[in-house]
Amino acid sequence: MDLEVQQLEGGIERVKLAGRLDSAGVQEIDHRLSALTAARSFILVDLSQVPFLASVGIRTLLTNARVLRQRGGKMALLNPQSLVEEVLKVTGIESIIPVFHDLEAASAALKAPA
Amino acid sequence: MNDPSAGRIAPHPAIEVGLAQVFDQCLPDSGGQVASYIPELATVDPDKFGVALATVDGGLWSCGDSDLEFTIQSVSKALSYCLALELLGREEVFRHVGVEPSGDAFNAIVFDPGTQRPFNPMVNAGAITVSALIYRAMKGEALEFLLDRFSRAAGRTLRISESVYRSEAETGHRNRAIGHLLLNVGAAEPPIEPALDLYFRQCSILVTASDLARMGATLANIGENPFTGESVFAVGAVRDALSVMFTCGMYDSSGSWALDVGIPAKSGVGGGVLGVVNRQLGIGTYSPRLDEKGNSVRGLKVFRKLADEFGLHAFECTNYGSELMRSLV
Repeated sequence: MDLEVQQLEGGIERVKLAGRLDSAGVQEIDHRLSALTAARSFILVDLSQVPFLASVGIRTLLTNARVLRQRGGKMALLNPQSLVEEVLKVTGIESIIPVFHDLEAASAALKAPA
Repeated sequence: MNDPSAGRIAPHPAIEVGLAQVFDQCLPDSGGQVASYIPELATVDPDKFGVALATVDGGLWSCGDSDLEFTIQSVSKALSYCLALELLGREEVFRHVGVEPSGDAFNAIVFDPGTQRPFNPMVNAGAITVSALIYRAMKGEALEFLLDRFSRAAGRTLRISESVYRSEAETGHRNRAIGHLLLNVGAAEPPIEPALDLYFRQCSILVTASDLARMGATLANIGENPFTGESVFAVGAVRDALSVMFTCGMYDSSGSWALDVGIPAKSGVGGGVLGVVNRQLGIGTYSPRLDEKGNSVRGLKVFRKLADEFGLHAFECTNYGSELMRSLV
């Protein structure tokens, strides 16, 4: 699994993941994602290149989202594929980590006061 | 990977890929030893490995040696418990065997000191008690009754391995001792020999990993086989059996199993493991190398990985508790 970081305006980090976010995928990105959430405040996880999100992957996203929130930051998810979006919806995760299909809307939500 | 359309459901790439990856990750593990305390079990090929997953809407996915027969052994305990509950009712069954984890080995000769009854039906003492109850209810038709229900749960006609049965019957001195101690404490009633014979025979029933998956799907589907539509187990008995499988099904590894995997399951020293995800899935694995507690090494690994892959654990952050409550709030 690949992880690519792009700095957007307003101190937002766009974290682009590519590959299955399963046990093996989590092992490959866990440290880098944790380091980012420890150091930054606003993380936009781009899921457009993630074909499958395993429960261990969801747990990783939730853990990092909570770390961010405790530090006054936020996480949002961008452009999930239809299968992944369905998983996020059915499991109720989208009510905890908001999902967007529009970069501007996602950026605005991340910067909006809590 | 076998034909994913073996059931009625369209192929599903996420399940196929996930299952194949888990299978490939577990295949190289050659840890553990084949059971040897029943001589005939020591003759199996230790490298065989099969995994199958069946859904309650009739889908079946499988990898490896999923259609290779092996003896069901202690996996049978979960199913026979279900049948005893149906035949005799909860109160009568609970009067003879408890529902508490023992923390002892599967073949331990130990009873609950407070009740003088076996701790639970998933260890040998409890399972022999259950066999005695079924024999009491069905007499000479008990074996036919068990075989018929097991077959309906698997969706095909099952048979007994005569060689394993003979091996079990000839060398099962410890189980015979347990049977006589059950008579001594009043947990079982005489004659005990036919009950022991029923127990040895039920353990020698031949199944495949795919059978275990379909049996699991039958339990997951509230007792109705999703492939045949046949009603196999009583609704209340399924709930009770799954509960005891959850707390006691993996011998003295049941605590760590609940922590890591978090679904009801039952293992057998033949190398099989049957797991149930309530209202969704049955999972069957076969790999005969066992850990020191009698559980299949690769089977355990498969379940841990599938739980992480598909969010099977009852307390996974992606799972809701009561769907009924969810509809209310």
